[in-house]
Amino acid sequence: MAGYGAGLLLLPGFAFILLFFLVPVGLILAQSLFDPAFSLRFYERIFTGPDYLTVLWISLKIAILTTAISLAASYPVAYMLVVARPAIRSLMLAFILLPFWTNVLIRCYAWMLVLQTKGLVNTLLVGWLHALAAPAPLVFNLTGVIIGMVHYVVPINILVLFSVMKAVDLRLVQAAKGLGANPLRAFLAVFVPLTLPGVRAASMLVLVISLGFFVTPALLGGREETTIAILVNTYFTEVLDWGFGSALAGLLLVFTLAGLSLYFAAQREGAELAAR
Amino acid sequence: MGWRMLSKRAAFALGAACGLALAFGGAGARAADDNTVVFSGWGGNWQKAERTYYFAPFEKATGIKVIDVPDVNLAKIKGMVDAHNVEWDVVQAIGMWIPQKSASGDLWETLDYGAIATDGIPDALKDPHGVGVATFAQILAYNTDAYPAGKRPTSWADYFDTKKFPGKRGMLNEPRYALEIGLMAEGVPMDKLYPLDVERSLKHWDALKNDVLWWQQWPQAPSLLASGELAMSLSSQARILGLLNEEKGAPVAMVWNQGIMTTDFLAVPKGSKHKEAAFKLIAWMLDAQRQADYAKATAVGPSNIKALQLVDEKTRELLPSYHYQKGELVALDNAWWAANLASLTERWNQWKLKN
Repeated sequence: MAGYGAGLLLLPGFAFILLFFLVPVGLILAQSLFDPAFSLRFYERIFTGPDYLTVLWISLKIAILTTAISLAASYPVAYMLVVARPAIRSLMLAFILLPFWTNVLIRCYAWMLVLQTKGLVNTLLVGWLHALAAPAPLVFNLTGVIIGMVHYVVPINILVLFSVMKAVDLRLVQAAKGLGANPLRAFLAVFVPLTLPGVRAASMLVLVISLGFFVTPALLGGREETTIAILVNTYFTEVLDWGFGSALAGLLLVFTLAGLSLYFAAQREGAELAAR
Repeated sequence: MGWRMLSKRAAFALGAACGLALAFGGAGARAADDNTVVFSGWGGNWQKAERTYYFAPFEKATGIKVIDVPDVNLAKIKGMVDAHNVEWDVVQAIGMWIPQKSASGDLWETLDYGAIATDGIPDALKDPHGVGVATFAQILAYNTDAYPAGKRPTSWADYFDTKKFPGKRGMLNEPRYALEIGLMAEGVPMDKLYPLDVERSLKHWDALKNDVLWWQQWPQAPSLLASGELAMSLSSQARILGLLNEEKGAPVAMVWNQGIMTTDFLAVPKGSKHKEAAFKLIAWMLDAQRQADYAKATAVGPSNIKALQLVDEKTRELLPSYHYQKGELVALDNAWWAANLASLTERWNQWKLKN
């Protein structure tokens, strides 16, 4: 009985997701399969047409790089948040949330100013420090896209990691030290494994957001940073070919789901190996 | 206790709002028939000026209320038309949208030219489904610090001449305009541009494509030119003038020669609930004097050629329609682009991604 009760509590959330997420996604995918009769014409075009798979690869590359770099950047910050004194923690959270609440377009234009040839970073490196002979190409290429994307997802990454790290019982780390582990070993052997669910959740979220993102690659990228999301936007809003646009979106969805299930399978296997 | 009160009040407010929406949603739309018209445009300063010079006097003269919304978007229009729930009555469309077709059928109502006076509007801007209202010029712009007086670019051939005119180039990351520009640089005369020889143009671009900064959004170009990041770029006349207006002395100038003139059209999405009011608003916005006043405020070109006589010489010099009449600009072929957009989008991406 209690089980049923708990199940009922899930009902509103499930209904919401069904109505506002699964049904629209289904409708979009249906558009890619019916023209108006059932047809795989749009998908055939993706696989036989020029360069759509290249674009898919570019999208995956940008998303994976963003996920990896933002994890490396966020993990230490989240840890600092956990161990910091409450006053410092509030201050840190404020600085983490400030960019998070700033409009993404404004952030992109700000990055352009900072990263361009005559921008802040290059002026500093070339003009003042003489560290470089010529300005480095930091924007309107892959570097610029990754900087902009990482900046966008880091606050999300930190907050997810923080919520999980906060629940870790730090006395376990103390206990490890008490049993003779040095601080590094205590951290790596006790704390890190306990935060892996958070790492998984944060990486998943960031990967999915990165795959669907199109403003940052469009503004900070160059000739070669064309992503599936940019193409989907072009086919929906300009060419008005919703069937093909939906097929491109469907392709991205399938690859995302496939990647995530592989990731989960690997995680589970890893956990089983560790348990043995 | 506080939050309980609050949540009760919030729940009541939500319930009341839902009730009101249900009660008035249907009836309200009917009662408002022909007494409101919803206009969707590009937002920003241009639409603010449209409110001042077109909508406010229109409301006063006719008693019809104009609700203007920003961010006009063709996908939204198709969505509304397909769902038979059309919320916009007049849209400011880029020229290419008028001949564009949706797989599910026509997007636009046929205009009733009996109800819309078009005195002064050139025939080329009168389509059964839309009528021209404003003209823009996509032109070559450059940083004046990069090129000393007397050694400044004057044509698209100069844009491709990196020996005589060194410096970083910028271009919109789309086939539109780039293809025209490649051909003009090769020496194809403006009246022989269409139908575009796509492969010839792409071949001309091959030598330069790796050194171009391919930007995606129009506001990028003026700021990149002003900061010196770009020495030369495609931009639009209205944006360059806007920049010079806001930042006096910004080191940016433009070339009218070989610019591409585009026209925004007014059109009524198929299934509009206020068709007659929509036609009235369209007719209102075609008037020569109103277009002249709007042009003075924005430097957006009029579609009504009589408006050119109603502005002072200094303003006229800034307007695309004036330079088009002088033969300096070529008009974008909307029908050609609408017919070839799908295949060119594919070809463009293929060309762009190839090293």
